[in-house]
Amino acid sequence: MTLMNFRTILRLLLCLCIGGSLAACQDSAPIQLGFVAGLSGRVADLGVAGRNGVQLAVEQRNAAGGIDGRLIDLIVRDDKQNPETAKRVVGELIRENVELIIGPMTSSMAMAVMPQLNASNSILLSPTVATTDLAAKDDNFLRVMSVTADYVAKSARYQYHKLGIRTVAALYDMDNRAYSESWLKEFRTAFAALGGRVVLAKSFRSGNDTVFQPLVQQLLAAKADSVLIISNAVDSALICQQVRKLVPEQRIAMAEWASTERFTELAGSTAEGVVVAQYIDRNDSTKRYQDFLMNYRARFKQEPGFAGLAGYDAALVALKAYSIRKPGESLKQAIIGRKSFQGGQQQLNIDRFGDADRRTFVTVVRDNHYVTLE
Amino acid sequence: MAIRRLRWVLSLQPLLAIILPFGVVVLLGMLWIQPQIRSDIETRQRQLARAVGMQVESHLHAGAAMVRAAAVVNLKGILPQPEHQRPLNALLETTETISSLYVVAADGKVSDVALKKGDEKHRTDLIGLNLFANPLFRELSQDGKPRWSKTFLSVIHGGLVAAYGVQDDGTTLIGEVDLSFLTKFLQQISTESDLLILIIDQNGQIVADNDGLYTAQQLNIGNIGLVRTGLETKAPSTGQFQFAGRAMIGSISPIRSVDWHILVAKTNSSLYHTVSEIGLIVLVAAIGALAVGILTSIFIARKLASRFDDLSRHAQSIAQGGRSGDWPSSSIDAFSQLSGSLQLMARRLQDSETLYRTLFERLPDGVVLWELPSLTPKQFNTAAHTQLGYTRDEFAELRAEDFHASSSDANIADHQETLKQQGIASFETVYRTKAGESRSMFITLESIELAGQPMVLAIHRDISAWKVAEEEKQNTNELLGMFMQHSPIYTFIKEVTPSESRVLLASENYLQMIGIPGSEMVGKTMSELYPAELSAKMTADDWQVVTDEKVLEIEEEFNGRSYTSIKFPILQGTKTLLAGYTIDITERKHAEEKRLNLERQMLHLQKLESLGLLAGGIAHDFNNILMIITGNADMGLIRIAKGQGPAEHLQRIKQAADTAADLAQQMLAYSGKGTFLVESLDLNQLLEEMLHILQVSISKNVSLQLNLSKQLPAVEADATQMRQIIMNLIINASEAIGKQSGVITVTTNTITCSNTDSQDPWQKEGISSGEYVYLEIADNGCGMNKSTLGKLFDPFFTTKFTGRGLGMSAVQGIVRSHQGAINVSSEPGQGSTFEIRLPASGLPAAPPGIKTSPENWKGQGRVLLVDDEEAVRNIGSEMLTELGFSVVTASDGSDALDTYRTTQGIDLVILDLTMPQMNGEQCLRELRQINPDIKVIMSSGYSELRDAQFLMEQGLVGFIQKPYWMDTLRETIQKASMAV
Repeated sequence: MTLMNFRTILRLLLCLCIGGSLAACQDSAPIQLGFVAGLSGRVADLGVAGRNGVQLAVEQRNAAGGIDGRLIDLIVRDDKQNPETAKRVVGELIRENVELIIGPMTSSMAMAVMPQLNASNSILLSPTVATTDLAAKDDNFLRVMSVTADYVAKSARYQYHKLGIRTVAALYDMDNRAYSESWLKEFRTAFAALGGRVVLAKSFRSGNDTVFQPLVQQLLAAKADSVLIISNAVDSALICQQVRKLVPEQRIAMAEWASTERFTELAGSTAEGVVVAQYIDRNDSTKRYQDFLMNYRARFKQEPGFAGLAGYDAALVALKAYSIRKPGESLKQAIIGRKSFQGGQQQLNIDRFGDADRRTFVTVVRDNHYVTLE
Repeated sequence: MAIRRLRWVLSLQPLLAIILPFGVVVLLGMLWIQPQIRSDIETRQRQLARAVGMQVESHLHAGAAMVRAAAVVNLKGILPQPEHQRPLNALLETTETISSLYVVAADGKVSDVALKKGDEKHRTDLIGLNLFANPLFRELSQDGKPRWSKTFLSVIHGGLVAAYGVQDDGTTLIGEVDLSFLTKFLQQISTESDLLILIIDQNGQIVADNDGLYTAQQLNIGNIGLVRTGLETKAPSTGQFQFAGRAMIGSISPIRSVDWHILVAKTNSSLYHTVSEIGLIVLVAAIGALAVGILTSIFIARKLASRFDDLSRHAQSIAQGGRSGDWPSSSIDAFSQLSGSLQLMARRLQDSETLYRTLFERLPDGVVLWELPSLTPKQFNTAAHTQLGYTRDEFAELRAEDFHASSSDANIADHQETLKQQGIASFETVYRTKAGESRSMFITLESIELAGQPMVLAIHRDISAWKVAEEEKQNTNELLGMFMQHSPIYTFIKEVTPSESRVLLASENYLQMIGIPGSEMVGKTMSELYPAELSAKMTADDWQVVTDEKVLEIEEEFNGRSYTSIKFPILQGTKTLLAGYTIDITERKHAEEKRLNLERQMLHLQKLESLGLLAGGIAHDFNNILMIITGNADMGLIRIAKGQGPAEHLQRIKQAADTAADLAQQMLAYSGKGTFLVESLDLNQLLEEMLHILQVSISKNVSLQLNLSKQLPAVEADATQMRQIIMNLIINASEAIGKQSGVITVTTNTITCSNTDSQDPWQKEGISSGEYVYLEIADNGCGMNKSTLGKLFDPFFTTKFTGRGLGMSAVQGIVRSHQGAINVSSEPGQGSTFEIRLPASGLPAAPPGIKTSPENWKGQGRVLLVDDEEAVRNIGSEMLTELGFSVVTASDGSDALDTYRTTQGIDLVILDLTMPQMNGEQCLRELRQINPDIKVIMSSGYSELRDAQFLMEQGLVGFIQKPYWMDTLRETIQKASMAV
């Protein structure tokens, strides 16, 4: 080999190494997946469980080699259940060119951040936002959860037909206004369509300064057949405690928002008999769901609840979108194009507006556990 | 083998020499330093984790202690309800660890609650709260052991809390720990900005962190290997892990009382920051030094390479035919030496090229380098084209078949095949010259490769002359063979070695000599043909011939016949050959012997005749002398009887005795035994002393001229005899001149004789080489004819009416007795020249004729006279007594010894040389043994010059010849008495 040939080969190798390194850098750069939720405060149980579900899905996918050899980097941000905080952290993620952000977990936070999302190339994929205010809109909002109307109708029907409830006194959290007002409105409509009536609806703002006993006294003074709580698990548990203290036999129903294990833990025996419609079949014995439960419990030493499953489902949808996305196709187009995704428990169908169709189950708390009724 | 540029090699090697050690050092450093640093870091982390854990535990213990104290206060019923709130509130205020305190009844309902100021509004909500399902309440209800709970959301503020519960007598006190306070606590103890401190619960969930970032988020990090290990082993562990996208080194340590763990970690970059900084500085410095070193080595390599390039270019120019010139020089010793060596090598190569080019061109054989397959001459020397008559340009255009005139194509094919198979082929062939002549050639072909191209090297040797010579040689051999076959004399050619002579050729007539024809003798050695002794001599003689390279003529005897062999060497290359003839001289020898016998008989007769003549002459002279003696003796007696004086007759007797002594002396001189007193003699001085007497002795009409050489060396001679010679020759010369006017010239000189000329007449006289004193006596008389010259030195030969004819014989005898020689040259009417050569002695001459003793000298003492003749003893005794000595006598040597031993006072011995039984020489030796200082005079009737000189060297003090006169006796004894 002459010196000239050797030098030429050396130069070629160097160029190949540099180019290859650059290409490899590009190819091997992790996929950034954002997550926004309330990880602290009174609604932290939703956010923590949702994050855990997403984290489980991401860790499972990374262990399997990622997507096309690229690992997924989960970037978690705490919106503290504060709209300004939510906007700020979402803005950070958008600036970091995070294409897909899973979350938020509450409708009010989703409503707060949608304007900046719609103005960006990023999309929001919420595990648990159910407000109808974001339904049937061609925007950058997608979800794996049905809208509140689905749950509300089922709950109303069950209470009216199965429980014989004719009057309801409601207490709802204005901090998650988009959800709570949406839920109440839909319930009022559905219940009224059945012949029932919401005799009282009181709002409150979740926070450290809220004292529930006076509110509960006012609610019970309406002497409705059932008390309807539209709030987070912690506040719902405290409200339950107050209701049972005053009227131990009072029927209580609540929105699916509070149907976490934290509610049963905090409510204790006062949660007994509370009816809630939710999108998780607690009696599901399928392998897929059982494997999910086993893996979640092993990983986090907790029950996932609906939030954990919802987060897991959202992550599955997002990861699937990354893996099937065609060159030049957006993730939204990939999700809407595929339509159907397999979740941790059930098949998810996402329409062209990014809204999901999910089965709803009526459950009742028995012995501190959620039991599916229908 | 791959070729690399020198510059590249010189650059690369220093690079490797620099980089490799650098790399090794870096590698070793990394292999050793990094683990050491990591170990130190992990140790510090463990210590910090342990310390922080202890602080947290201490803090929690304080809270737990407060709950236990509250239990005591409450359970002991110190104060009834609701008054015991105040102490509970007071207790709650004593610690920041517990944020609220629940008093729970056995049914799980909160019966009382102590709250921090600011949270009291929640009392109504909290009183009656059902905590039956609370995991802590359940566990306390089961075993009643105080314990810490897992983390949970507080109903008061919704944040993450943990609780410590104590149960006694059905009442449970649960104190909630505000984990945000722990966060603050961790922040306080976290003095370093990049330090991460996590409190992890038993499920791997972050309870609190010093940043407050993860506290409320309930982040589960149980999947981190270090955390998992810590949770599983509940033992301190240290290791690396990834957290929030950062690589960290941390240590996890259990807080056993609450089943929590403390994790303390720092980022790798932070931990290794200082080391990294230092390492970076060192690395930068090393890289800088490395770069400087590399650049320097590259620069130096380039400089070195450029020097080699210069040398290479210069060498290339020489290789392309340029002149050597001056090679590039350098201040570096190695380069300078290399340049000098290359210059020397180039010069030698050029010289070698010149030499070999010259040799190539000067070779007598044609050398051609044929190109293949065209068989055109690529290179050839001068002989190649000149031997065929072509010019160089003409030959360059030829091809091999243009001048190849040989045999059949089949032979050529064979040669080509041989060349192909073996690479070399040799054969004879015929070439045609340009003029059309045929030349016999011997061709040698060899396949070679030159500059990668196959070629044939051909050597063309013109053997035409050789072939002609071979033919002539063949003819000569045939002629020689015929000659040898028919030779009348024995002829032979032999090959000789030191140990044997082997016949190569021999004449056929050897059949007559040894019974074997010459053809059968070929190849045989002398030992195979002749008897051992003869063959050995023949072999030795043959070897001597060839080694001395001289002709040898020898006589040999074989089988009773005599042969003369003439052998001569033949130089033929390395062979030692010898040729010769052997002639049968048996018949000739017989004839020669007969002739010699006749000559001897004639000589004998001549001698007898001469002796007769001599004896007759001597008898005649002595008869005359005796007549005088006897006659005068008778007359003297008659006179005495008559009473008259006999003096006159005695005087005549004495004269006659003198004449007899003189005659005896002449005879002795003729016989060469006359000299007896040798001395270093200057002839010039002797001649000058004799000048007067010589002038008186010659005729007055004759002039005498002396041409005497100066610086004439002395001769060892008897002065008396020299005078006799001179006198005889001068008188003869004068008589030869006669009555006319004439000149006698006497010349002396020094002459050097050499015996190389065998024709020199002086060689016949038998004188040896050396320096001689030359005496010439020349006359311009009548000269002598050849007949007279032939008899000149014969005794008693004379041409004069008077004279006995003994003079010249005496002269010859004297000259010969002095180891000299005499030569005569004479022509009738041209005068005669007598030349005498006597050996020069080299000793200084002694002045002649010194008389030492006066006539009246008398001696004293005793003399022992020893002589076997009584008459001599008698007359001697009388003479000695007359000289004044007392005398004792002895008759022989033995008698003399006895007498000497028994007689006292013997001062002198006169000893006869010739005596029977013990002669004088023997007696002298015996006497000297008795007395080493004895004085002895030897006497003799005839003198042997050689013996006299020898005896003188043995200690004789004198020599006296008989008969001696009184004066001679007196003089001799006086000289002897003066001898030491």
